[in-house]
Amino acid sequence: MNFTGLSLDQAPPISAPVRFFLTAPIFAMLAAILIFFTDASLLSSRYSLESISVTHLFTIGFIAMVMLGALQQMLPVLAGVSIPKASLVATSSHILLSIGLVLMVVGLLQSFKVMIFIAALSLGIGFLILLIGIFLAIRKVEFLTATIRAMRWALFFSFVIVMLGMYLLSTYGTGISGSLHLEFANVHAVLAIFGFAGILIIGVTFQVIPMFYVTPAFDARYQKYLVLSVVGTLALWTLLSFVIVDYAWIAKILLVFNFGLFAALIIQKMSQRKRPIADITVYYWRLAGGMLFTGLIVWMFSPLIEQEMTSYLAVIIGGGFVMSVMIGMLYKIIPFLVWFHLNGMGYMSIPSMGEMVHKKMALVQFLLFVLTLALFVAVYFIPILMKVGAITLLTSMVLLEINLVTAYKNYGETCKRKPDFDMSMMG
Amino acid sequence: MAIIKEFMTQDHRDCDDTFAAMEQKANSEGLAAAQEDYKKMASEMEHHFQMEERVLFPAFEEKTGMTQGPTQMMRMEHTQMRSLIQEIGEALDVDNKDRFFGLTETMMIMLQQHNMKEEQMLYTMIQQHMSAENDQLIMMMDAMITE
Repeated sequence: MNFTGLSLDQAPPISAPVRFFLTAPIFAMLAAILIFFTDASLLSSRYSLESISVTHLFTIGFIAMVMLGALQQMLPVLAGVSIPKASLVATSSHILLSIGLVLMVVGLLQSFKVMIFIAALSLGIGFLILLIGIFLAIRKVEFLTATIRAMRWALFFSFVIVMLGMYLLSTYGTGISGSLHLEFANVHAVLAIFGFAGILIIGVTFQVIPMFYVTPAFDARYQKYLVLSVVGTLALWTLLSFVIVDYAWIAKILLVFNFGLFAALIIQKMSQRKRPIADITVYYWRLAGGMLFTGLIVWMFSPLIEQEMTSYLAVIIGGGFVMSVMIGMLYKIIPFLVWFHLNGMGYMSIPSMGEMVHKKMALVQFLLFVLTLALFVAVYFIPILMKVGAITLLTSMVLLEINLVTAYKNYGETCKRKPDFDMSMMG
Repeated sequence: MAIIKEFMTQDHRDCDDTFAAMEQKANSEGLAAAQEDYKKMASEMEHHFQMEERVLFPAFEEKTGMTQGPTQMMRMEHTQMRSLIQEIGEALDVDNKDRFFGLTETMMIMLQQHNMKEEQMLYTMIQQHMSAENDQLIMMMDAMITE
């Protein structure tokens, strides 16, 4: 029995996950700046280089950063295992991903072919280092829970999308794209959203919502079958997209049904909270549930309207659902990590979690984020709103960074100040 | 009779409910009104900690020889939570609402991640090693009086 993960000594150093968390808003800021200076018509086309750049600043720069940071932290708590050489893995992966993403965006927008190759390599290795680390850790888990099973599936899909992503990106370097380029790109996108992000969020939600908000547990049947059902549907969808494209809508409806059920479960659980305190994270969860629901409906009916819906879906599902969950979690995870590490070192007089995040600032940040989503959706009717949305997004992300850094600063300051020094000596 | 894992897990849920009820009272009727609920919560938690520290953990440690492993870490986390419970009581006494809810949030997450480790790993281990003593241990824990 490997029980090392239960000890604080074995938990990754606080810097390992936090470096990922604090980088995420910065890439979202870069995305906002890029949106501001890009013509709205270029961003409404799904395969323009500008769209691809903006999308990946969000998906790799924000979403993947937060998820990978959170996974490093959660494995010891949820599964009693930790990533081998946690610090080295975190540092090297973080640097490669950050550099790779910047090179990718610059390379694509300026058509620097060599830079695109280096970016593909750097991103690929950056992801693989961490994914292999997580894989090695998860292999040792003895008691499989629904969450761990979900993590394993998410890990499987992440390998697939990283490989596809490296291939797709390098075709922009060679200038040679195969006849199946768009199909591969579509599979890459759908597996990334539903296979990696979607399944990971479902799995983690099963644990985190009952834990943070004291709700009844999720029904055992959902815990057991929802992820499997998503996996089966994604396999069917992938197959249909290559073989009988005309029937891909069947898988799409199944996927909408699966995630629609999940959205309904989130909303239901949030109303069954036994903890009365509706903090900012509760707002974020509700927003996420509502946006996922809306996004699915739009996605289902989008063929009836027109093709241009893809960018709005990205806003509603990528921003409204996925990013909302991430931001909500960041507001809980960082203060808790600071508290947990300080307390574990023996410090007793430290601020509580609630005192680390400035409530009004967090609320303003949330409202700006909601406003951004609304503005980006409204671009459909009034294109100029894109610029306004870019500004509110930028402001919201700057505020998010300030809020998170403020919370994290408690760690360094307390270590430096050494209150109740005698206690820390005992710890 | 219940099995240890279910018995202990149910006690976790009962503690969660009492804790949430205290927060609910403090939120709707003010901190002063929550004193009784606080005492109930503190004594239920202490009872649970002691069931583990005085009955369950020693039995497990004796049987497996693992004295420095998971049970030791759980004891350390109990210490962390005891100090949080005490601080929550102090915040109640001085009627500091921000401090109170800041601490209860911290306590809640500390508690939940602690429960998770126990329910998903430690209790499962204990169940594997102690199934023969199951009924006896549950009776001892049930009858135990908090010190």
